[in-house]
Amino acid sequence: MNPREPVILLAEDDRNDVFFVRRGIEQAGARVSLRVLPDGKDVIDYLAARGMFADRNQFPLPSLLLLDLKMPLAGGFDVLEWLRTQPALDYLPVIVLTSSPEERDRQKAAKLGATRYFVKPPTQEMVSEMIQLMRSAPTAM
Amino acid sequence: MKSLRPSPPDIEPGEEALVQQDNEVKPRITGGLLGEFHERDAFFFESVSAFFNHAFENGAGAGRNGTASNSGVLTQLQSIVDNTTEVIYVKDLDGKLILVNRPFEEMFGLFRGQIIGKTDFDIFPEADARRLRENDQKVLTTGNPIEFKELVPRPDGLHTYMSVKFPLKTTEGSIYAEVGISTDITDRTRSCESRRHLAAIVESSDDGIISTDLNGIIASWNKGAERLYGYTAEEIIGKPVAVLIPPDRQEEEPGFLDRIRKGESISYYETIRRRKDGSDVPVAVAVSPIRDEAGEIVGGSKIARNISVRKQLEMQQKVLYQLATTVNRAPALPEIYEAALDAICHCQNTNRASILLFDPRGVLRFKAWRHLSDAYRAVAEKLLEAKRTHKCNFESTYVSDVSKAPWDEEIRALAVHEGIRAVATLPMTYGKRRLGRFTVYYDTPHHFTREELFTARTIASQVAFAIERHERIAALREAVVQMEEFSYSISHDLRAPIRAMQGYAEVLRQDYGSQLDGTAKEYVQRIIEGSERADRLIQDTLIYSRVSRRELHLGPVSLERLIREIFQQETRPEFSHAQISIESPLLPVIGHEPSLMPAISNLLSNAIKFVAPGTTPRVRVRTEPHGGNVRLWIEDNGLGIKPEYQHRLFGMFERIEATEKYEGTGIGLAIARKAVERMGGRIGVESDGVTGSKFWIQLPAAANP
Repeated sequence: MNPREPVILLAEDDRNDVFFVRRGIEQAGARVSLRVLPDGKDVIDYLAARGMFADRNQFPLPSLLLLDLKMPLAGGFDVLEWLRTQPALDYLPVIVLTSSPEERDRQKAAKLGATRYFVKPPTQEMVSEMIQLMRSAPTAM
Repeated sequence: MKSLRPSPPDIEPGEEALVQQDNEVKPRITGGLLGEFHERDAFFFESVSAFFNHAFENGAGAGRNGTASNSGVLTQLQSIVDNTTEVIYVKDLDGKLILVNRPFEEMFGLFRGQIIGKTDFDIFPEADARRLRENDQKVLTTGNPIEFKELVPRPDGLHTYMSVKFPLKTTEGSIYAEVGISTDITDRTRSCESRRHLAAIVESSDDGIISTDLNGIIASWNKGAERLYGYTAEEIIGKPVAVLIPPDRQEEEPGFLDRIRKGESISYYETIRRRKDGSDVPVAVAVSPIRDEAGEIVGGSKIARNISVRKQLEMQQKVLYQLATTVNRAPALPEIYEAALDAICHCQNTNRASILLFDPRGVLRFKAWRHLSDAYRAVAEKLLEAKRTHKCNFESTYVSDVSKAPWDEEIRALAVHEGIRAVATLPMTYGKRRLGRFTVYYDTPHHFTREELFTARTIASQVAFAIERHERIAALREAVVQMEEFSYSISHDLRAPIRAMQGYAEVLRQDYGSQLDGTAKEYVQRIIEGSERADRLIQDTLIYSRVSRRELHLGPVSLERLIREIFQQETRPEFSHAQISIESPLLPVIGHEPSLMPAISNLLSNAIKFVAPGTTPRVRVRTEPHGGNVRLWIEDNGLGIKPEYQHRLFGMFERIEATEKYEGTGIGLAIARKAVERMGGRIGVESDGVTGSKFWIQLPAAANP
């Protein structure tokens, strides 16, 4: 693992979707470290450097969070709500990547501070926008 | 002369009964010769007879010959009788008039010369004359003076006379003529009768009718007033009317007296009066001045009507209306229970009531109550638990006196201790469903009237209705929530594996395309198309269900803006190849934009999609007013739809074209129809099946902005 590579944290419990995101990023040719967590609870622990994610060197803060909404223990909305209480993470761009085309989900995500809202499957356009967003974000401390 | 005559017959109401049907005043002849005529009367008759005899004899027997002569004595007699106010006449044995006085002449507007020698039959209608003649015959046959009440027709109507008739006898004692003295008592009879009627009306009236003097001192008091206020006439006459007025309304009476003194009436005034027993009663009062014969105002009359029943009904109506309003507002059930208890306590003038509902085990439990102790409720519930299910009585029950009811001793003792003396229990049902019981308690033994039970039942049924509706709404909400969850999970979970199929097939083609032969590539392509189609079906089904169930808030929609937005957002390649002409300005409609958007979008994409190969799709969009509505037309140069297929067009999963040539899920038009119908509009198509289709959507017109 190259510690100088920016980290994208992908919260996704569907391994097929993980595959397509990873493939999209690879095809875009970006040098990125993609860390995948299958649940919102893990995402919060990771971002808060709690429990098994306590070591920031091993689990550095990401430059972008790709967030599925529907996950087993804590969903994407729970993560977004938690993020609002974390001023230190204000810098972190969050892209919701979900299978829900529902307008109410889109609006709720926007209200809770999501930067973008993409409906699966991820297209090449989406991936390049993700990478752009990751690069323009302030570097993680 | 007047002083000699028998005093005018006294016809006070009590004595009137003595006058029999034949108009003869019986007692005065039943007692023998002069009956009950006083001695003075007998002397009078004798004197008059003697005087007449003297006159007639000295008139050279003219009287006996049936003609009055002009002799001095007769003239003297004539002038005497002319100067009385009574009608006086003398008839011979044949009933021919031989002497009449001036009042007689004036009575009929005839001169003496026209009357003398005539009989009653010449003057009166036959029936009247016969009655008069019968009276005369009685006098002539009996030889006694008799008093009659006689009805005599006159130009101004029937007059009533009190007639004293007595025979004239010769010195030998033979009767040769009859004298009649008649007094017109018509006015007196009339006024007496009307006075008597009035008195009877006043006395029998249900209204309290009283009179006071100008100082408000009660002068008369009818039975109605006694019933209304509780005082007898003896108790109250002479007392100030103020004793009937509650302290906080004492200022009313001086106001009434002022108005009376000014000669003014008050035709209707609602107020409160206090009874002898201290209770208050709502009354409607009418006040008028009373004048004496000279027209001076001497007092006032007051007619008071007990309006407590009406007030009670008005109050009940108001209470029931308020309850219905609360129920309609559909608040949480506890609020409805409280409103129902308020209503029944108010209507029944009690402070105890309860609502019991069946719990899931079928046991009645107190759900809401007023002024029932914990102990009472606990014991009542214990008893209800024991007789739960089918043994539970589900009829209305009314216990007029708890102390005599066949109740369980424990609960009866408790009830009496609580101060409960009477109970009405009404079942609360909705249709055949038993919901619970509604109970009213009274602190005195109570006789239940139909009206109050009706009110209680109305309230109970309102509560039952509210409970039923509340439960149904809750069930509906639950169903909607479940439906939404179902849709949500379909859109998330069902689409995920389809996306995976689609994605991996795509990867196969991209990464391993070079290793696949033509057939394998074709199969991969079929997987991709199949999964795309499955995904669209799911999405369209979701849109259809959303359009079907979501709440629509209708408002003005600018079709001009909406349609331009649809074209701007549309990314499908076929749109860019089509020739679109929009005939601006498009008229605005009333609709729900989020539902209208997919409907119009579907029609537009169909219009572009279904063209013969090699043809450039041309679509014309226009609106036209259609009554109070607007029709949006979307016309294409496509394949058209044969009339025989048009009825199937808007159904779910209906497809007219084969899948291979033209992609589509068959849900698009179903979505459009559902959306338009839910907005109160209509959708349709005109096509000959050859030269394209003209689809239309009709919606109410909105005012132009």
